Amino acid sequence: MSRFNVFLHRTGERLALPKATRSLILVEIASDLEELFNHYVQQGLSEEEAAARAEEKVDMSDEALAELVRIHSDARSWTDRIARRVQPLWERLALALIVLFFVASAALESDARPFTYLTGFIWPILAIFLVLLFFFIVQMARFSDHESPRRLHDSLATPLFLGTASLVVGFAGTGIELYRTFKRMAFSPEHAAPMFSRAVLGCTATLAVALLVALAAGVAWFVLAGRVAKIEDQAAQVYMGVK
Amino acid sequence: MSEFQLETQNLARSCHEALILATLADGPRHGYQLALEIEERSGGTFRFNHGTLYPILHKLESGGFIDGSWDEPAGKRKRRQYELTDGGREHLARLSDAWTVFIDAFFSVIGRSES
Repeated sequence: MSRFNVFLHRTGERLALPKATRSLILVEIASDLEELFNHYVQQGLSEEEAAARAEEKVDMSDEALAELVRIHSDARSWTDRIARRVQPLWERLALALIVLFFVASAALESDARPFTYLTGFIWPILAIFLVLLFFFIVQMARFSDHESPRRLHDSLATPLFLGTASLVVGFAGTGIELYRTFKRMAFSPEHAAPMFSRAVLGCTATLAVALLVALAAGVAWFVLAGRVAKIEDQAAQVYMGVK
Repeated sequence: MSEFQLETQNLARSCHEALILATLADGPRHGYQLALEIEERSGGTFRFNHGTLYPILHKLESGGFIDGSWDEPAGKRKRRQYELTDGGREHLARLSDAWTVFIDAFFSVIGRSES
């Protein structure tokens, strides 16, 4: 139990922020309280006096708390807002169903020779997927090592970057492939129809895979963001003496 | 005259920002260290309450003037540490110029005490 448990709970209740953000602020306040307490004890104050003095020094007015809430509400990125907003079970289930729908649709459409129609742009997309998979596994291992939440938080941008990269390759690949096809069609108009249909088939199949990889990246980010928020919250609970 | 001017409605905030940035110019500090050091260096003139400190620190951080990180010494409680960024150094220089102009203007109106 922290000697500042009651004080931290009281402050936490007045901070109208998402749990994870509030937790980080409380962890900061808790560590400053302990340091101030030690400082005052070293100055010769009794433990009770030092604790009271530290609390008095750290106590925040309603205006200061409102200012802190405003700063953190402005500073939160849209990705953070989504990660922290989508918390209830029904929202998570809805997301899982959307993912399942896409994966099932792709699986139903694929045949025994999945690479038959895909364009050459599938390789960088698959490479992105493998990097994503590796990154996700490494991150999950880091979670179990109780690494710093901040470092974990900093790494959350990677899945979003990989997802965007997959989409960029998919769309750019479609454009380039169609350009090549139109060029070939111009030189041999008699084969234009089969060339065009094959190009469209290849492009849409490749684009579908790119979209699935982007979706997987989104899911990976969502899972990791949820875990980071949980770890941050647990850290604050420990400091507040709840656990 | 400096292009950057202090807002008279926000003098306290500008003063606190300048004090924090100037203290961080000497090296990274934890929040509690900042408050104690400013109080000590000013001979007790600037008594910093953490309630005032956190919003300013977090605002400076979101503005890119300081960078906060978690310091985790082995076997010890982790602490939030702040350090000045290049943008913060520039902001401090602007604040310093603005305060010089402000204080000169203030004394040109009220005059300096003879005692």
